[in-house]
Amino acid sequence: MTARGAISTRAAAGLIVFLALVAAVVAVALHDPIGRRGNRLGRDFAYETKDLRPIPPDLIRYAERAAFDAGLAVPRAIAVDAGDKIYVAGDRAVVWFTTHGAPAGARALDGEPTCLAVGADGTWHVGLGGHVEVFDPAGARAAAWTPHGARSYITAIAAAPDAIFVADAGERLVLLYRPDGAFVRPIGGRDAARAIPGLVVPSPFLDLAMGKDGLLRVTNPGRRKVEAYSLEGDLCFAWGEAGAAIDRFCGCCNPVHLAVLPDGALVAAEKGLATVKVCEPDGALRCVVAGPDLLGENALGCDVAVDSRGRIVVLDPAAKKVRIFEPAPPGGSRSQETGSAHE
Amino acid sequence: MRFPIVPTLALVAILSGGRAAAEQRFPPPDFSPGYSLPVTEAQGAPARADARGYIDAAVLAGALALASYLALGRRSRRGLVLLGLGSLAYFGFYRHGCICPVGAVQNVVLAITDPGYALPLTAALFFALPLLFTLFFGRAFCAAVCPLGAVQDVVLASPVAVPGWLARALGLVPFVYLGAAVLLVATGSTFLICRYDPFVGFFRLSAGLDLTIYGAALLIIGVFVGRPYCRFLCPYGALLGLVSRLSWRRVTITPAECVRCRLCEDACPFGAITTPSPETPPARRAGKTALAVTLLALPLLMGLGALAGRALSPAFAHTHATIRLAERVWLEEAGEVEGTTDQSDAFRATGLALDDLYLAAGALRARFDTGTTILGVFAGLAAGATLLRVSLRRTRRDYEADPALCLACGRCYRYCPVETDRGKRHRKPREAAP
Repeated sequence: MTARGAISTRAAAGLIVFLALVAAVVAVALHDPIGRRGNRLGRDFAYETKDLRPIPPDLIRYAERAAFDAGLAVPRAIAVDAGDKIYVAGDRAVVWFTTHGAPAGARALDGEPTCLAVGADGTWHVGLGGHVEVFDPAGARAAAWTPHGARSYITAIAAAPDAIFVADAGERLVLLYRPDGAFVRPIGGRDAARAIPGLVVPSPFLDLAMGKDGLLRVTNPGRRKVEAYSLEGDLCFAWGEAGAAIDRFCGCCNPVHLAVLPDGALVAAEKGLATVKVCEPDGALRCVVAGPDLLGENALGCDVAVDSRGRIVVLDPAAKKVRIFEPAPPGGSRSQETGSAHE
Repeated sequence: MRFPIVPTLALVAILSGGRAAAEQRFPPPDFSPGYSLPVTEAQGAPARADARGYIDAAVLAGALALASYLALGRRSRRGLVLLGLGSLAYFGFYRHGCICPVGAVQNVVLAITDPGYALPLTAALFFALPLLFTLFFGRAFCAAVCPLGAVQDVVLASPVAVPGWLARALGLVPFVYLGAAVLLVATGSTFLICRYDPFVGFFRLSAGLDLTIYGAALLIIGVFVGRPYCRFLCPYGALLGLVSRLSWRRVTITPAECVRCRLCEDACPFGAITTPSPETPPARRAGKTALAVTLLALPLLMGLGALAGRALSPAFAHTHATIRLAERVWLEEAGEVEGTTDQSDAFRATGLALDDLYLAAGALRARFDTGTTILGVFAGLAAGATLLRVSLRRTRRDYEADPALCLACGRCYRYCPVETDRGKRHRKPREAAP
């Protein structure tokens, strides 16, 4: 290569390097690593749920017949006793109402309740963070059980005549106790030999309910499933699919609450796009009780209970209200009768 | 002269690929029939991520050992090239450039400054192993293990020498970059090195347009300027350069006595070969004066750095999410902007007091003021140290590889006639065999 050729080549290289350097500096200057200019993604990536909120009217077969204030700043759990009295736990208390929503009593607690169950004999079982406390029908404290594990966080209790089932979201287990508080066995823990995949609980929501067929229904929110266990702890069957369709469970971890109707159907509540729906015992969608248009979008989810008449009692933590739903012809879930029930 | 611009651009286009639709949506998309839930740990699968991390660390240790052997024992440029390509394939494209020792610096700093952060063993190993090997065997990591270095080596086709003064000035940038990265991690702002990694987007086939241009520009520069990122940007390289000055063993151009043939003078594309001292050294008095001036200038440089750093504090502080949020909320409350942002809405939804937010932001601003001042002093010190190194007169008898700048790539081996002669002598018995 001649000297002149070498110089022109070097000049060309210098020009290319210079232009590349300018491009690099501009690119770095335009780079937005902290998202100051937003994510600049299209609508496909937007946090947009409005298309998912509407529910086909013919699927809504319940109507809200009454609603009343729970009277608590942070209502957490709801239960109905054999006489259809409605109990709400929250703040540091349990309050109860008549079946029509009139205040009937209150009892202070030593801590913030996380769940509540009222047995057929009127005994209350209250989850207080990591442990369970038992109260007699008059509200006197009868016992306080020791936490099962260091990570215990009790999120649901179901009382059967000879057994108390406790959902421990912290330990990812259902705990079976005798009514006197003696621990019997864990249920739902991962066990390959028994083909039990284990409970996946990404957030503090794990619920259970005793089915009319004698099988315990347990939510497996991380798997978007409801699982049915025998009292011996065998996994009998499970149902539920992840998805945004109304007959599936949406989001990261749903359903969050369960209740059982007199005919054995299951009431399942989802958080996020708050929805309460009724499913057949095998999981097929029967109908919807209320959807996000009424319950809104809330991260807590609505606890649910069922009274002896088949009314579905919903605790709406966002509105701090108790809503009572009754079967109705297909259509909207809010009826003209909605109002303060006891007035 | 070869101008592989078209292949380079084609490579960039292929590597950058399309922008992967990796954003999470809520609610998640419907899974059509046939989809089965992936196997999770709860179903008995092994803890894959942890095991993979240990495998990566083991591969790193093995690659470092092999690179050290190839550079110092075998003195094999070909072996180093093959190992570099392997590292590019494994650590780059297969492991997507993460975790890498360059970014692991930030994990270590975070572990030191944030008591709530537990340093993963893998990150600790990735940070420490290359430094350890450098302490014993020179920059084996840069030679053939770092995927960022390897991808630049692939495109280096027509190296031109960078003037010494410019290379020394640009050589300060990695120290400033390192200091800035440490500051931003220590204040809980961001992992700066990862945010501006020029090649990781290529490795993952998911680079945005700006980082694609940035990486492509560095590769185009790398066609003519040897490893521009390693020499003039890499903060981990700054650390390795310091440690390599203390190396027990390191690359030598000649395996025996230098014959001063000058054949290797232009062999290094990284400007890492130092020439012998002139026969007639400059006046001793002039050297002493230059040294004295530099020593006197050192506090001045550090002071100027401190002032500059302090002036840049607001810009650095704005990288912190809490400070940005506080500024935004303050503007909204003062009615100086219209509407709200997702962040300000989320803050108000927490119910926390505005004063608490402002207090937190104020405390962070104070930390940034201190931190950027220290960063400025550090930058001034680095500049002064560079000037001192230039001022100090050392007597060199041979052509030598600068311990801090040499990347142990082995390119200079084949330029050395002593090496060539040794190779011939080693081959002779085999050639003579029947």
